[in-house]
Amino acid sequence: MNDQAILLVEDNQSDVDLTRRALEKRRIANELVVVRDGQEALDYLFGKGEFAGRNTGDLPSFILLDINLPRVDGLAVLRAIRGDVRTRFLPVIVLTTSQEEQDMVTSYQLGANSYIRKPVDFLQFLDAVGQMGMYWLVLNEPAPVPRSQ
Amino acid sequence: MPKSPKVASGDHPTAPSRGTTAALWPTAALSLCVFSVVTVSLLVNDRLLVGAAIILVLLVVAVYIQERVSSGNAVADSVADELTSLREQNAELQDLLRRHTGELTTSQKELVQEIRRREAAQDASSLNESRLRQIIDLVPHWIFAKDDFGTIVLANEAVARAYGVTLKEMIGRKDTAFLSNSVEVRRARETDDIVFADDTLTHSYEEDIHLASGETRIFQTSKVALKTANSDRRAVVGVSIDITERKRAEDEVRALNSDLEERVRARTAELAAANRELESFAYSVSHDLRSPLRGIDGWSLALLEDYGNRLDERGLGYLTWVRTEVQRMGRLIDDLLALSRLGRAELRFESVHLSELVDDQIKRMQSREPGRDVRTTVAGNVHVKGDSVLLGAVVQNLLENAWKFTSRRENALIEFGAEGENGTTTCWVRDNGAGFDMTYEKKLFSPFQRLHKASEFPGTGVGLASVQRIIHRHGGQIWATGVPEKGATFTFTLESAS
Repeated sequence: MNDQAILLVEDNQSDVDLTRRALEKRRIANELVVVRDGQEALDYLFGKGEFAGRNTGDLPSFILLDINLPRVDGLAVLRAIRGDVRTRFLPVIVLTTSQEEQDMVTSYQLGANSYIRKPVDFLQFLDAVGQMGMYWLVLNEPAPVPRSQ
Repeated sequence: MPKSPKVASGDHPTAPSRGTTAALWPTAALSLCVFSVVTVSLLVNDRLLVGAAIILVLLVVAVYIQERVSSGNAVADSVADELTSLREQNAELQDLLRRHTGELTTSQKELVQEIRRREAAQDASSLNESRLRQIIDLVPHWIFAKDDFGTIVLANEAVARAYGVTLKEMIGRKDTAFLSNSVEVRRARETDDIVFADDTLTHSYEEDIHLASGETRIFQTSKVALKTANSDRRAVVGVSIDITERKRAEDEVRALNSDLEERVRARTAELAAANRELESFAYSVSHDLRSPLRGIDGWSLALLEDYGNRLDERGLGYLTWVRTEVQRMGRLIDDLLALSRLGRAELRFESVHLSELVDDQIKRMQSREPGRDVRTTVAGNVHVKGDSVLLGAVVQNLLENAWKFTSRRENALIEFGAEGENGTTTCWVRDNGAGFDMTYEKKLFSPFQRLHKASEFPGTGVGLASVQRIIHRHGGQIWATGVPEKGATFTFTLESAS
């Protein structure tokens, strides 16, 4: 299991805490980096704003990206991630409460690796997050990280 | 040179005696007259005159005989013979005369009759003509005829009235005397020429005509070329109908129509905006309502997991209820959103094999609950026009209902039937399950309205509302009949697929 952080882009504190708890329950001990909106997510990834000076070569193992976010929304974040050579291969799991088919189609078109609709039943959510974590942390062989320019 | 008396008194060697000459002179003169009359009468070939001539001849003959008898110079025998012969001739002539007179009388009667017939015909014809005149003057539209110089040879009162003249002032004058501008003159010539060029053609067109009243009105004119009765001169006959009011009405209708279209466009745009608003509302409902529910459920679970050992049985039960209710609310929200999506989804029309969808759905339910013994009958080859995904949802909902409400029946029966008529297929799903009270038939199709306790038959009450919405969006109808504890029948109509 790699020890890279997991980036959670989520503005709802309850969901943040529940996600943190779900990961702990699945014994996923990787650091959980939480940012509150799309702009913060991009700042974190590209070392800007309050994350200026951060080593951008230190990428998270995967991103849990909520679609409905303040300022820059999840789909725009996804577009920016896929548009940058440094983050092009970063696994992104789109999390959403919406069951709008359009969101799902757009997410996949923009290159989401996975799309998970947060179920109301928290046990199901736990299962989903746990499986995702396992897959991306344990089973998946990460793409080579491009050197920063 | 004047004649000498000697010569005049008679040196002529063959001159007859004075007495004989005196006796013959009137006879010769008369004969000459008769001859002339006969000749003339023959020339003019008139039976009356011929008759008169014959009478004159007889008179001359009679005079001649009289003279001969009275002269006393004739031999008595020869006179007697001659007289007999003459009498015979006379009798013949008289007979001839009678016959001719008879013929003449007959033919005169015929002539009189012929004259009367002709007079009657003429009366009738002039009556017809005056009636026709009355009729064309009664017509409110213009009727006119012109020769190829544009001279008006016929017009009715309507034309004269429009130009503020009498018929007498109009007939015989050129049309240009009445046309008020060059456009009208040019059009008159052009349209006359068109029908003169092809006398089988009726040329119709609309024109603006300036009238004596000062107003310009729109006319629909039809022209056709005619040959006049007495010469090879051509004429054009025309009828003009004032269509100003009709045009005005048409313009109004057009204006109203475009106004209506404009309003429909505006209303459609409003509706589209409202729809988008609804969509974003549905989206935010989906996101904003489900999020806190997930929180409630998640933290209830956390409480159960982390502090479950500090709660007694009852406390654990309460927490479990919190989670059950939260999850039910989650399903309600999901169903509501699904229903709203049904209303928005674009229909993709194709031929749908309903029987197949029904068979598949029955198989799915049977494999899910293999323990259930349900007898099913499915009408084959039912093809309708519609969106296969949405009609699949209809079939699924109705059959799952039937499946659910027959769950307490021992001899459960589910039937899918259909019959087509006039391009419409009427389908039904019938069961012998719990049924329902017809008083509440309308409630069946309202969202979240349930006629059964959730403890008996679970459900959110959205299924039939979805079914109704789908059928309505396909232009069909749906209704339900039922008897409590006997069963229910859901009937819907769809367009048949050939």
